[in-house]
Amino acid sequence: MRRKILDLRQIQEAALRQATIAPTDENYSESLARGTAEEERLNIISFFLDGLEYAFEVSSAVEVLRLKNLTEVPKTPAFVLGILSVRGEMVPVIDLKGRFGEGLQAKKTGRVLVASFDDLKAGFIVERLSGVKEVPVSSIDADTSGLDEPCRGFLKGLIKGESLIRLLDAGKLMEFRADEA
Amino acid sequence: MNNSDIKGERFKEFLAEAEDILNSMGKGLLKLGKGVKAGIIDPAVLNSIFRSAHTLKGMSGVFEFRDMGSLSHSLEDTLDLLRMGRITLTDDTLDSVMAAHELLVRIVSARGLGDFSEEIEGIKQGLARGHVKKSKPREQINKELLSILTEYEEHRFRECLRDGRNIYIVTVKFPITSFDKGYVSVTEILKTESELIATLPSTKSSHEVLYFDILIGTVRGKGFIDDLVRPLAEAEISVLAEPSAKHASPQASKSEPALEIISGHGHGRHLDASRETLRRVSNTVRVNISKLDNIMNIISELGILKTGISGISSRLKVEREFSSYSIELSRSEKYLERKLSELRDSVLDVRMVPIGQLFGRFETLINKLSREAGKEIRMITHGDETELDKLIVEELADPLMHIIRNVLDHAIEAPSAREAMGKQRAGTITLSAYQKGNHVVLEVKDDGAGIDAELVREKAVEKGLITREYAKSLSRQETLDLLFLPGFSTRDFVSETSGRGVGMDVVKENITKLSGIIDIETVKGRGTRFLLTIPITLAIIQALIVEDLGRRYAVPLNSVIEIVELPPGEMDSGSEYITVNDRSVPAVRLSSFFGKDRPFGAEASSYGIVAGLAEHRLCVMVDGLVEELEVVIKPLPRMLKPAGIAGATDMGEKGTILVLDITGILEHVLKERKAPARA
Repeated sequence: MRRKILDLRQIQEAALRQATIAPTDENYSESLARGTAEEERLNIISFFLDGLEYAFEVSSAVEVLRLKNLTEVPKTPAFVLGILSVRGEMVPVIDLKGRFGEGLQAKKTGRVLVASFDDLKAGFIVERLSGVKEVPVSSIDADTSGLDEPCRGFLKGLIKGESLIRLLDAGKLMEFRADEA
Repeated sequence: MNNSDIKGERFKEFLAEAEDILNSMGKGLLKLGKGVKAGIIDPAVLNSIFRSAHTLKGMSGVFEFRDMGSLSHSLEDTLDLLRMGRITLTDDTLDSVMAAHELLVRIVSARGLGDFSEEIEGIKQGLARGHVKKSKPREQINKELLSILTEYEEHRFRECLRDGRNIYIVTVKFPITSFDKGYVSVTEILKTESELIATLPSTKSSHEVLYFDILIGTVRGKGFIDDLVRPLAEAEISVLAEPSAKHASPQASKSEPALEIISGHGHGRHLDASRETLRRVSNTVRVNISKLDNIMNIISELGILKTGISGISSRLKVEREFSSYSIELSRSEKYLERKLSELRDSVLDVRMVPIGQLFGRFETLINKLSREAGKEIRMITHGDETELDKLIVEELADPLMHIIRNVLDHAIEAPSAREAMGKQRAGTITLSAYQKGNHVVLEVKDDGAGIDAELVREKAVEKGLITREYAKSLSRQETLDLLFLPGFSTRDFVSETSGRGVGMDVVKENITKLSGIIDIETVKGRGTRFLLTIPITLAIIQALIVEDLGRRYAVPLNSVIEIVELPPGEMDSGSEYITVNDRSVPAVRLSSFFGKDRPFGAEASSYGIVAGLAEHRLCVMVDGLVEELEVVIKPLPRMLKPAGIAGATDMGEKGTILVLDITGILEHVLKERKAPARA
């Protein structure tokens, strides 16, 4: 639990710094003020890509950066756009659509959401960050078999609320070898 | 043997400390050995060896390291008798002491495994044989003085008297706030001209001032000692004995009051002893290298921050209203830069140890091995003080040992054979080290038989390592390179000494791991020289920033041998070799190695970076050279491990650039082109 709080703060800082937190910002502060509600809840950070909404758990997100100084690395999978130095650590930047096997997003601009899994870190390019949300755990459906999208193999589950949010599995996204196509 | 049960962090620490102690003991023994040959035994050296043995014994007890305990105990006994002058230091005793040290080194490096009990018994007996009693003459010494000297101090006191040295008491006083520094500086300077027998704290000490009575034995006169100490402290010198009458000063009779002072209390002595222990503890801190790496990381991040600041300051310069701030800022920034580089240098400095530590270990080894092989070998070292990263020094121990063993077995001839050839009976192995830019060159030179290139060629063909046809095409240097092929040095190059089935290929591998280069120079019948060129440190590298097809890369300079300018057309497309210094070197265009093809006709003049890995060379061609920089290598993320890239370095505003792994590129290229079957 301590880890979560720490990351939350980081995300909050990053979000404030980027000043991109749109309407949900207020909801977020409110939810912080409310503390843990009766129902078990999960903090997620969500973003849009090609009109679809995706999210990482806040506990696996590290920070949000502006994409600049990306360095290409030869002989790596096409979805690895390059590496970025994040506080002295070299982090690969991944094109999510490419990672799903859909073909590259083509846009190399925007923001990079850095996520971690174990001791691994990777940055993912996101188009529109919609901010941190709190969702009831009960709204998460681990069964993704109904979804007919290439991202299906990289999900932890689907969050079913007003709109459908695809909850990404950071571990699976980072699990690849350099020689993978 | 329950030694193997002992595990864990503390045990490791204990072993590391034991190694350190054995290391300094080894150095002491070498000095002692030289001294015995020259007929002078430095009591301070003998005493420090005794202390090492004593400490080892104590440590072994704590860890129930029985082998080490019992051996260091016997060693301590013998050394104690020696330093007290109860027994004479004969060649045999010295041999036994050295053998004991050598065995202790092996016991420690076996990390608690293995059974040494038989060897220990043998050495213990050797040590005991040396216990031949020496008659103990008596001199008249003031009883009061004797009562406060330890047995050892008393012995030294008598020895000094017997040698006819002047005995003085140097009384110095220091303010209580700085007595420790003052005391050390005075004793250090006194040690250069005299023997320190004991320090007797004076009863005169007050709350603000401490007095010390330092008892010394010297061949110098009173005036000389006075001049020596005067610049450092207020001193008063009293004479206890002054046999060399010519230096005697009229005030010689003043010795009386000094003796009165000496007859003082014990509590002062106590203070003296506790200070000494404190000093020893606070002098050294054992630090894990990874902690230093951490500090290096922080420093490099600070460097990046600094670059950001200088960006701001240059932008401010343009804004007229801020120009005065800009000047101030850039001044502070320059200062920051200087301090940062000082900081980095001092952290690097902490990692550095003199190579002499390593050379010292070989001297005992060579003595032992040459005796066993019935050869006479002299070892000479140069540049012992040359400093290298501690980690590198450790990595060099094995390859150097293999080279030395090979030299001992195969290069140096038997004494009679040498005489017949008109050489000196004793062969010479010279170990030298010197710094060359960011590298240290280590040289192992012998005056033995040299290497017969023809024989090497024959052998390689015989073993099926290369075809006869290919062998014919090899230059002399390339032929010598064959020595480093795995499987070359099997039977013929391995004897009991250099045995264990390891050959020069292992040496090569080890040197390669350090991004080092190994070269052989040899003259048949005259001798051989192995040259190992090793980077000073691996933490920070000197890098050359190069550009190819619009991309920048950092090339670690420690793998660069030379840079050649290639006029346009020098490298025809399709050619895989270029000639550098009469040596045909495989060549590769950097961008095409990374799978980016050059648009046709884009071939302008370019530069060839000739890099080396062990005995191999590769010419990497790039469009341009940008600058030379010191960079800190960061590893790439684990899931990305492309061949030819060692990592990346953050250049702040200039972005991140990839650091090339020349070794990787070279290995890759050689493998692809299947070396011997070349066109």
